[in-house]
Amino acid sequence: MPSRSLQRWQTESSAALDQIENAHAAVGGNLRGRRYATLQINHAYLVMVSSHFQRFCRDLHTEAIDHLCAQSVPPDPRRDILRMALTLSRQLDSKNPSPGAIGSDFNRFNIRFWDVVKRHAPALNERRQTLLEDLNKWRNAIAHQDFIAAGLDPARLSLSNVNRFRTACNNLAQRFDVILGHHLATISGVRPW
Amino acid sequence: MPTLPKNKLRIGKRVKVRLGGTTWRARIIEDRGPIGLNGRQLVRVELLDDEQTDEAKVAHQFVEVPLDDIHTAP
Repeated sequence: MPSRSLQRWQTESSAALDQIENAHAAVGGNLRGRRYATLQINHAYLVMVSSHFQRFCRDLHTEAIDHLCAQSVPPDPRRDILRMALTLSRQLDSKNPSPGAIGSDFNRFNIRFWDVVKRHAPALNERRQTLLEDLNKWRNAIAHQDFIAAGLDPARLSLSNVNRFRTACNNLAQRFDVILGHHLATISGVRPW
Repeated sequence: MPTLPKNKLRIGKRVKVRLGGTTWRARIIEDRGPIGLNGRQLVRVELLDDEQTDEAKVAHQFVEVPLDDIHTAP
C-alpha cells in the first residue's frame, strides 16, 4: 500500500496534469498560431508538473512527520517538540522541489536521502535527479519570464520535453515513497504505509 | 477547550493548539487534507505569541497538527 501522498500524486495530480496535456491536443487553428498556443500550454504544463511534484514532496514529508510524532497515551511532549522541529523553516514550504531542497528537508529524518535514492538503479536515478534540476530551471525561467539568465530558449520546450520531466517525477515519487516507508519502519518499528 | 469541528475550519481563523504541554494561540494557514496517520486530517497553523500582538508574533513558526488537536479560541 503506498503512502497517501503517493496516492494523491497518482490520482488528483495525475488527473490535473492529464487535463492540461489534453488541452494541448485540443488546440486547433492554423499551423503558426497553433504553434504559439501550444508553446504557452507547454510552459503552463511544465509549471504545473513542478508545483504538483512540490505538493507531493511536502505531503510525503508531512505524512512522515505525523507517523513519527503521533501521540499515544500518555502523551509524550517530546513528540510535539520533534513535530515542531521537523517542520521549522522547511524548504519545500516555500521553495521549488529542487534536489537540494528535497535533500535538505528529508535528511532531517536522519537519512542521506539522495544517496539512498541512487543506491537502486544509480544511473537512472542520477539522470532523474538531473531532470529534476532542469525542470526547476525551466520553472523559474517561465515564472520570471527570464530565459536568458537560465540559458534557455523558450521556443524549445516541447510537449515531449515536459512529459520526460513528468515521467522522471513519477519515478522519483515512487522511489521516495518506498525509501521513506522503509526508513520510518526501521526507526519506529511500525510500517507507516 | 472544545475541539474545532471540521465545518468550522477556515483559513485565517484564530484557534488554540496544545503542543508539548504548552497551549499556543495560532492562526489556521492551510488545510493539508487527510494525509495524516490513518488518514486523519492535518492543518498547518502559524503559532502566535500569547503575550504579544499579531505584529510581534513568533518569527513565522508554522507547524502541522491533527484537526483534533485544534481548539476553538475563547
